[in-house]
Amino acid sequence: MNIDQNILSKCLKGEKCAEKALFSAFASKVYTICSRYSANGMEAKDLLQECFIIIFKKLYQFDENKGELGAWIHKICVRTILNVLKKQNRYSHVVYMENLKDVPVTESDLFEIQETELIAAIQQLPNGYREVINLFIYENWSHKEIGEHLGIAEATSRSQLNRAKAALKIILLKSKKKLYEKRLA
Amino acid sequence: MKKDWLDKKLEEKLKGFDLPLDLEAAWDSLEQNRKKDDKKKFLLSSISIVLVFAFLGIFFHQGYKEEGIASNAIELNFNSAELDKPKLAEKMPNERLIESGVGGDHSSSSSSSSSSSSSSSSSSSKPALRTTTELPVGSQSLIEVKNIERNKNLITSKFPVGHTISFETKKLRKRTEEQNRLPLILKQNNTEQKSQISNRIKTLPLQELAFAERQKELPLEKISEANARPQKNKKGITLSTLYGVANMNKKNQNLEEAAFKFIDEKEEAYDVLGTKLEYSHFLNNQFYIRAGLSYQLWSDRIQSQQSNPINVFEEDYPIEIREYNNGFRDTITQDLWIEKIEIATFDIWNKTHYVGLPISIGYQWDTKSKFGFDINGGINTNLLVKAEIHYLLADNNLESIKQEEFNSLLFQLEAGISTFYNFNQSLRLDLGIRSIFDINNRKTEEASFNSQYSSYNISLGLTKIF
Repeated sequence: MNIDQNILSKCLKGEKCAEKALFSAFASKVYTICSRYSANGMEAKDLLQECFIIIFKKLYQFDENKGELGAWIHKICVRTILNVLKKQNRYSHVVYMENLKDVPVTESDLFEIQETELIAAIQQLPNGYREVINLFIYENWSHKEIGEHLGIAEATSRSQLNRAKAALKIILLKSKKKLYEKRLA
Repeated sequence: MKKDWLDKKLEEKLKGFDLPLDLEAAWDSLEQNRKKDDKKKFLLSSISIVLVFAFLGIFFHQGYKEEGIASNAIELNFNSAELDKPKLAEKMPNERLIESGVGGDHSSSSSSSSSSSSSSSSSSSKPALRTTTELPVGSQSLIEVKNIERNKNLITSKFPVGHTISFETKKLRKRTEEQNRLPLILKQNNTEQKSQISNRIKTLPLQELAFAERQKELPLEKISEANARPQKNKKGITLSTLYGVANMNKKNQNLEEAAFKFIDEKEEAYDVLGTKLEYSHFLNNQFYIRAGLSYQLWSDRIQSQQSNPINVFEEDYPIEIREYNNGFRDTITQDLWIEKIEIATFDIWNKTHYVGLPISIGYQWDTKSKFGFDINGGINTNLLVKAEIHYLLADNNLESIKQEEFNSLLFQLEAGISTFYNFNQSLRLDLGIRSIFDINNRKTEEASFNSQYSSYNISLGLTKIF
């Protein structure tokens, strides 16, 4: 992203034009992250706003010597989203879906699925599953870290991930089925 | 646990992918949100600043008033036994005595002024004006607390001779009941003397006024301290009412229907209405214990709820497959988990009535003003009087939760903080916030789900102290 120091310093002064430039540069990226954590588009847009409010508020903390702005924004976003979700107390982090069978999904199945469909599939997951999948697969958190954050045991986090993936596979398979139906139509 | 191939594929799939977004619309709504936030911050900070200044104002104003009262307070001793000036002078050689001339004019005032400096030498049967800082507590002298309506011009040379000064009786603040009672009794018993005094002091000469003015540094606190006694055995009866909203933490325990399993476990917007009649026993000026009788009505607003989508395992689920190469269609069956959105819409209305025995301890902090703060907390033991809970299911079947499913006893933890206003020594109004938390579950283990409530309320109470 081409955000130079000049724009950052103007953002720090609270200049709207600079803030808009920063927003335009990173909004889509942040929206994608938010979409992964939320159940629908509306919720994702709410999270997007929360994230940017925090980004503008904490921009003075960004040190370009420590890393790229994009990475810093990603980190801030994930933290903000997790905080918001925690505040909403919406998640019962341990979700039990009985008799979830592991459905075989091949690489070719995944190949056919669009990115938007994958995000939609993640959004369809129960809240607890969605959070574990995001933290483990996309944020590269360890099960220990996930357990500590969600207040669950490491082993529970593992089993939750397995169940989440099984559920995701089912949803993806359904998406594939719909894809076939579309093609047939 | 390392990532498997699926994890990696899922990660790769979204790497570098950005969802399309209407930037302008998103920016506009962000700006609106930030403006709202700014307004909220401004409002909150304004309110807090106003509150801080209001409190400071009350304290400073009250402090000023106390000082003013102390400087204005003159206690006149017209005890006939002490009217004999030489005797009085012997008794209190260091006391400054001023003769008061009835209807005195300027000339007589000045002469009495000179005599006041050598008071012991002059003999007179005229009443003596003196401060009562050294008077023994409970003295039988006639004591009138007077507050001179101060006028700075009074003691200037331009002050007209024989000017009538209006006096008004003013109760000193921070006085004990006994302090208040004494002058009252004396007033009643000495109405004659009082009228005489009133006649005399109405025309006090200038010197006496000057003397009164000089008594600004009267150590009023000494009088208060000497007479102050701990308010032990003070009692009070409080009638209070509270209203608030409650959250219910629900735990499904015997529900078998899958649709109910994913209902949000936290429900909101329960109304709480309560009233209490309590007896307070003050251990000292600050601490008190309180016990009484309470009534609570917990009622939820009629609402509709939806269950979350559920996954149902379907055996031999038909899947249609079309082979593109040879163009035939076939249907295969497979055991699958299928997502079903079974919406269990139902209305709930719920009313539970409890009668309780609250016991609490509290601490009250009296400020110098009529306002004060009170903090208290305790336990309320409730008995279920009546419970009505109905669920109207989507198919219009009404399901009622039986009262037997409720525990007849409910223990609650209560805590509150309030500010109070003393109308007078015996009546006060409390306004505060109060939290109530269930200690045990409201329903038995046989009930379909268990619930514990927590509520946040506004309380208003009237206390009669005796």
